[in-house]
Amino acid sequence: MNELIQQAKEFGNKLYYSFFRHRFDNTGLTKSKIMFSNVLLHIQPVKIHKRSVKFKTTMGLGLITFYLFLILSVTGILLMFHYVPSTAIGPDGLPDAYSRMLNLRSNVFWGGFLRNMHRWAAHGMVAFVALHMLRVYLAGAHRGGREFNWVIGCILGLLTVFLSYTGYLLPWDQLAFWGVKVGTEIAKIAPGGALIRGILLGDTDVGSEALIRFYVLHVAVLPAVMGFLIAVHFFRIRKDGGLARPANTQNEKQIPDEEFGEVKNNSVFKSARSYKLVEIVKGNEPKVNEETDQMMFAWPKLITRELIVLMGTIAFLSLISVLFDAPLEGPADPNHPTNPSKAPWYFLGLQELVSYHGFIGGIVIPGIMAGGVMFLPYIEIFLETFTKTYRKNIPGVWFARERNLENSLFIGMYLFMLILIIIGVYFRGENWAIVYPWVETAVGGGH
Amino acid sequence: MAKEKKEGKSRRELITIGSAFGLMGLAAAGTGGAIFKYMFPVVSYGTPQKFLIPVDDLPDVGDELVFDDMKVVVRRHSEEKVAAISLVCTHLGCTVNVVETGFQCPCHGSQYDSDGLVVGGPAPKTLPWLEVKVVPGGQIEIDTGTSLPENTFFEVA
Repeated sequence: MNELIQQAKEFGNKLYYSFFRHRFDNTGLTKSKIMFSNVLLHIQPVKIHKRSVKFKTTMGLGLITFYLFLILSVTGILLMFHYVPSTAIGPDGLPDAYSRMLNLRSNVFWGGFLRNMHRWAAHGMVAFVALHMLRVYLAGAHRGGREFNWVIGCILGLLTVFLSYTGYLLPWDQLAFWGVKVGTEIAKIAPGGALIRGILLGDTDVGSEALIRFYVLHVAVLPAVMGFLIAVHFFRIRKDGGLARPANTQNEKQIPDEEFGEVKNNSVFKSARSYKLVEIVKGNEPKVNEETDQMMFAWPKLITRELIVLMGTIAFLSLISVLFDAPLEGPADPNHPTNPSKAPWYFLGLQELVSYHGFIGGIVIPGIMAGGVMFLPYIEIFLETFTKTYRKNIPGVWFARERNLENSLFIGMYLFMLILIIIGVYFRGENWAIVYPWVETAVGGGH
Repeated sequence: MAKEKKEGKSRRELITIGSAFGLMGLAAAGTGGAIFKYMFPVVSYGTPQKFLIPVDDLPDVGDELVFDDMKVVVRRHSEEKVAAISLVCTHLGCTVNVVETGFQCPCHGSQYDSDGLVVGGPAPKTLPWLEVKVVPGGQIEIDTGTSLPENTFFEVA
């Protein structure tokens, strides 16, 4: 009998070590092994700066954006099982794509919930991209060797918007049809835009070809490009030595060691710790005997916190998706736009601009804004170099006094867009005339 | 020769690398061009440009009638004189609504008077007046691809 138990234990051991290559004890070695022997965890470093887990440092904005991308991928793939990108009129007198939406909403188990989740996550992602960008800029984390990563981040932001745009075409409702109609008309007035419009639509006008092309862009091309650029974005953060932080963090208040739990020392030399060269990244190592080591093991505290953010995101999104249905307007009618015809909120600033002048509001101002923001760190470097006004760059510090001017301008731009969006959502009524929301409620679109 | 080598790549290396990258670039450019052409629309399934309306369906004298599917309003000035005005906004292509003061666009708020002249909003041009032709079989043909100045009426009788 004893022998049998022994054999069972041995078998269990072998089984365990075929899955995991470490134990779950409290030693530094194990904590390192957990991080680099797991394919999902090894994206992150074994040791991180204590600053990284503080809420104030990132507010989790980039992480939430990434989680929303994951949620969108999962719900999107699930939705694909029930969707056809076809405008052919079915037996119910509705375009196939549209009647699939009705089918999802009323017949398919969990169909409405998953569609809600996909739509609200998409809205959330646009919002969190904007917030993440604001955080990075105001904390000066776009400088100090991270300029190119800022550019990649901006491309990711544009991809997010373009994914939203190609996505809301797919239900083939009124919002979809007139959104694409107006969007591609804006493209047409850009220099060389007629060609781009032709390639996007695959036809001279918005129709079945456009739906297929936008579908392929939405489910295959753009997510693939996005996934790749996300990898580059993360990789560069890692190689730049983790989150941007000031050169000296000695005087910052950190979370006390006790909260991270004791780490046992399993080294032969009981008073020493062993380091192993795993990678070379930018940044300073603590100077021996001069600074206290402000690094901590990523396992388990960082991973736990990340999972808490994930659970929070999913829980909040589920709640929203249960409470609020994703918008679905009437089936696409190529003859009559709804009145007023409003884009989703993140495009309403643009729509407001376009309602003053097509070319200036639709091409010039958005182009200057997108290009200006994308190359902002380089513009800063250029101005600093050629006017010889070198500023002390303090990455990772919120509202650094040296950057007051830049920060104010950046916040000003956000406020400008926000005001335009608010006007578009609440102050535009029938025939795009000004209405006051306290007199009559603005209707139509704007979701 | 020895000096050159010290300074960097030799001519032979440059030619090798240059031709290698040149050929790869050429292949990439060719592929890119082919994909571009592949993506280009071949057949247009777009809406037809010309429409036929039976003369009997025309509005009464002094009246006008909206033809939804064609996005035109047909206006009858006198027994013989008829004109057609496009309802496609010259700003960004939404369909304008017929209102008391003329036409209004629900997308970006362009306003036109009853002749299609811009009186407000972002529209850059007058609503196009369209060519109307009498065709055999008691019908008239409206060509939505044309763009004529305002008050262009056509004889239908």
